[in-house]
Amino acid sequence: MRPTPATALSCLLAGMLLACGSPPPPAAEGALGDLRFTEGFANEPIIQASGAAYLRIENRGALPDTLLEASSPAARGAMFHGGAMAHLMVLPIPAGGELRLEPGGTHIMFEDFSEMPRAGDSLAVTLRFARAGSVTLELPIRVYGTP
Amino acid sequence: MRTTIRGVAALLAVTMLLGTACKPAAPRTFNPEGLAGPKIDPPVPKPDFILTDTDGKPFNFRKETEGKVALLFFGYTHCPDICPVHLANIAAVLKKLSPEVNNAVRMVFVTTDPRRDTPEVIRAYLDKFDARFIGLSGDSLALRGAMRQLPVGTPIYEPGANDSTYTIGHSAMVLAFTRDNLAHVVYPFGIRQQDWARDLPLLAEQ
Repeated sequence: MRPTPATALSCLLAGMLLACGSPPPPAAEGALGDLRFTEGFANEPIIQASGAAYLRIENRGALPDTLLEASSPAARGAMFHGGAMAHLMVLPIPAGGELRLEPGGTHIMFEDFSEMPRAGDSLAVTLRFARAGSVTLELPIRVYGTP
Repeated sequence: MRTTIRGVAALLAVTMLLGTACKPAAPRTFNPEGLAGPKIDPPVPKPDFILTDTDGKPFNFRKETEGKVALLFFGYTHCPDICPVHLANIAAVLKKLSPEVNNAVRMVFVTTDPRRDTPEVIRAYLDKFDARFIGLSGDSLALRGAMRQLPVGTPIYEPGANDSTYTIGHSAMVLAFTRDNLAHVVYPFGIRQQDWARDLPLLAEQ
């Protein structure tokens, strides 16, 4: 479908500050001790066997922390992967630094969903840290793709 | 009217891609500079391989994609991160493009995980994106033979929690072969739907 001149023009006029007709997708935020969580989301899995979740973890403390484990009641397993799917046991978060879990990079891979997450719903994800303890975040579920 | 729409669309493209010179469409010689996908130099010749399609029939890649824009991607259905993003992006963009462009493009997905990805599994997976997407599998030797002709590296097996939950590291790149049987551009991870929407019609015109 080609954009009509009117739509195209209004998009033009809206300028580059606004993406045309697509509000920013929802993302989860939260905090635990010195840790701040932003940009959290999961993708609606294509198959029951695997899916991925992402978030940004900022460590505002003076001491490093480590993400030891992720889990969700909707999936039987979870592991961490780096770029090119390298399996990572734990993920360090330096003091005053951050850990970015993002598409195409390090991410949480869920395995074997007992309940298929659906776009528009949320996925409960519990993260366990060496220092800060545990937190459960409700990650909004998006569909795959980058407009 | 058509010209006006094109004009506005071109303006839009320029607005979105700051710094890109406004060029007339459809150059006769291949012009990778006009594309969002990064150029690969020297261009990659179209590989010569025969694998098995999702109907269980032999698929001769060169023959079957002759005269078409062939988008070639190696991945696997259990891949949760990169593969679904590429496939979802291309499917979404094709739905918005003209029948002519759709007719000119063939999306070919080759599994790097023949153990789990049977033709049936691949078909069900690709149908979630676009029923026209072509899915290929083969034995390890045939798959390696295909990949060896391309700058896509060798898939890396990563064991999982148990024998059935392994993952496979693989190239994140979609190769785009034009009608000259060369890939002048590649599409790494991070490429967006707006990039495909810009490039696919241009590739189809080559």
